[in-house]
Amino acid sequence: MKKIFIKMSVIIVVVFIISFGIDAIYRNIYHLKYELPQNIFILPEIKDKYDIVKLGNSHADDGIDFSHYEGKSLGLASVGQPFEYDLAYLKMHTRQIKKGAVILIDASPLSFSQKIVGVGDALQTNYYDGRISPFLIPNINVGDYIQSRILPFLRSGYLLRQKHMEEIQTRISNEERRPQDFVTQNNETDQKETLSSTIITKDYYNVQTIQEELDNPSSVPSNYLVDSMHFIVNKWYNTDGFGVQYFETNRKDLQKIIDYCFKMQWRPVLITVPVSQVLLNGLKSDYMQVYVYNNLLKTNLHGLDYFDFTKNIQLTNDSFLFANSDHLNGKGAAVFSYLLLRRLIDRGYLPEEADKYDYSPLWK
Amino acid sequence: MLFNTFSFFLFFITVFVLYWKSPNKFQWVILLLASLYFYGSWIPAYLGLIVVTTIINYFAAIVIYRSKLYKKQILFFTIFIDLGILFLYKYLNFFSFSFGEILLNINWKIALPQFKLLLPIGISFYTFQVVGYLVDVYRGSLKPEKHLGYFALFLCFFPQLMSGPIERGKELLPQLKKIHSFEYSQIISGLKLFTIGLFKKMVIADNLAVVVDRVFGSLPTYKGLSLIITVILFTWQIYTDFSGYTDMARGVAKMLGFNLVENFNAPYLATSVRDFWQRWHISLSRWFRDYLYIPLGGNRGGFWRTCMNVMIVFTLCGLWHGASWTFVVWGAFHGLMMAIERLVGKITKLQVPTVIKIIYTYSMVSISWIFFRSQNLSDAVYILRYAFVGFKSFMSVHYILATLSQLFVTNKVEMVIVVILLAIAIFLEIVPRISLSNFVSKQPTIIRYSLYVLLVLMIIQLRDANIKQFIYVRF
Repeated sequence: MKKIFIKMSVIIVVVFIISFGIDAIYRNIYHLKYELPQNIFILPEIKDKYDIVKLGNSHADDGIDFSHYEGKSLGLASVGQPFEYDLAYLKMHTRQIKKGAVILIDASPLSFSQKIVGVGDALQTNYYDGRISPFLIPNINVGDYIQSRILPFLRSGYLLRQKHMEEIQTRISNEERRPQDFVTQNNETDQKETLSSTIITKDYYNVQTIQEELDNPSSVPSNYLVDSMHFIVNKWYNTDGFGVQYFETNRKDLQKIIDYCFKMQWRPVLITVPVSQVLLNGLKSDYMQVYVYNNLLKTNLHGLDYFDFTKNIQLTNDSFLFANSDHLNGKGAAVFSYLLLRRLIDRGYLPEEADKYDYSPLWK
Repeated sequence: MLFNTFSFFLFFITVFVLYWKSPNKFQWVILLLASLYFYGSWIPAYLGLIVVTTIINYFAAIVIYRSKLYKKQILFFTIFIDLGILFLYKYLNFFSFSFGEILLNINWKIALPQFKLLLPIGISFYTFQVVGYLVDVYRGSLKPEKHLGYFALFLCFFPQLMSGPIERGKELLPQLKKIHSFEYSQIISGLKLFTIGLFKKMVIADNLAVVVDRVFGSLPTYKGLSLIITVILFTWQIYTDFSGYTDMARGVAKMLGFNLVENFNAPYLATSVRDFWQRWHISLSRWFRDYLYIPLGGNRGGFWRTCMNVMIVFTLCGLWHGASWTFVVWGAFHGLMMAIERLVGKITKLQVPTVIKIIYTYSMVSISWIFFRSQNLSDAVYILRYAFVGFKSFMSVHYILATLSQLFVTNKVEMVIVVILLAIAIFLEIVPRISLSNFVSKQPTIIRYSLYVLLVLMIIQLRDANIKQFIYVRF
């Protein structure tokens, strides 16, 4: 047996050396560097630890803005992130979060019905960059991780072909475009930039502006919300990525997060970031009850607070606060984050000094 | 756990060391535990299914052997259960949907249920294997296995669990009981076989799949020669994919001291469709011949009866591959071609050169693969309808260049790789494996090892970054 392993090892070592040579030439030609993993183990202790942390998917990522919160904050929410990954993320930062820190857990309308990430699912490759240790990534595809991060020189052949292919695809699509397309596109970009710079202004960290917005919701046509609503409703009800069969697993994962928070002596708070009323109307009337509330009822919450902002019609009805039917835009995030902060202060999670919003009169 | 994954690599190294380091009398225990782990690593709940199948068939075979009065009834009842499980998981939704469509066409709106059942891996293969075993016991050509452990291992032996080869009881069971000793030459031979299989799958099949998947993914944008080239590429993709899998399965078994049956014998050199089925998926053809074709009467009932039997067998063979009309048509097409060949053979004694026969068989088989690969019948019809559009221009250099440019998105690197790989696939088909093996083994050590290094280097550098499933695993 030893003889066989030695012979195999010799062949593999020679192949590795040749591959390393090929890879060195390839990277030298195209000036590429290795993408080695940044963090293999959980993050080390720091002196100035985090006071408040947000977890969740893109709803929380886009919707919670800590800019005007006093204290050190940490955003661990990310696109398509299920509870299982929230927990992995928390574990990764365990040593950097203060005892008594507030952990905001977003129980979004899709959190419980979201498909469980399995080995080989694309989502996990998002975390190969070191945000989560490979030892914490749930159901990690070990082979994929090793070949892309630990032994990247073994795939230069593939990378070369991919690069060549992408270059040609880009060339083809550029050649196919007519000159007037560029003119139109450039104008559109300019317009978008102008629009976004007028929408998201510093004014929205002013409490008076926030209050005015809530009292007089902006009335803009919400056709884009309706289009987005149809897309989302179909996605949540009819695609393989979502289903009631995932309730139990996701519920268990939420339970693990809550238990872990208590174990670490943090203060978890459950929230639901607002989605537009257009979306809530498009979903079946019992959607929130079946997909969110019933799951929360079945979870042992240990009496922790739950702030459901989908019931705040001042927020949900204001189409000007939403980027699409289920995501707040920058302005919406500023408004919602203020309301969330006030709620956290009122319930004693944060001190009054945590509020850094601008209370000066808008018009002097 | 697929053979071409890193997890299998780790799994097999562990099993290999444990197996050869443990005392002989415990080797089967290691293999059984490894096989159950291998199966359970996919969906643990489905382990119950294979355990239930094992227990039912274990006792049924013993009862069939001992019983004098109800042999046949017990046999049919057990086969009914085995095929019933297969039907439930593989065909229920297909028939429910098809029946619903028929009812809808006659304006009878009944919503027939569709079930969310995942197809258990290898179910078609181990069900056929166990049915063959039961029939052998019933016929008296095999004594039932009394050791439950050996029997369980016969059913779930991991090298052949996913996609065969479909083994016979009298071939595999004695090997399971035999004391295996570590033989260097056999291990090396298995390792070479596994590596060649890995090369076929990860280098040839997966690279050809890049082009094939692209074309089949957007069929309406392709016409003429590009469709023909794609079908040709698919013929080699499926062959290298499945024969690659079989080589790996046989290689793994060989490294553990077992010899599994050969499943392929240069099928694209067949001189008739009938000959093709004696060279392609041999273990399945053999199963259909012994357990369906012959019981139906074989060729003993005259010409037309024989043709009908062939049609029945191959239509069912198509259905065995997948719960879709495309597979049914694929199987029926093969049956029809064989019936036509018999008819032609009966009425004429025409002497046709072997090369022409090979070209004819390859063309017929290629046409049948269109149905096999297409998502639905309308896609297959599209290819058949548009493949020969612009036939007159097929010899024009400009047309050929334009076609290649479209197929490979003007990517010359991809094109060169595909051409080289296709040439290697054809070379491996034409040159008999034994001659190749003998040629390599006669070379000086340095050349031999250089060839091994080149093979492994190509696997590592030319493989696709994403692991692709074997085509036959979904059956």
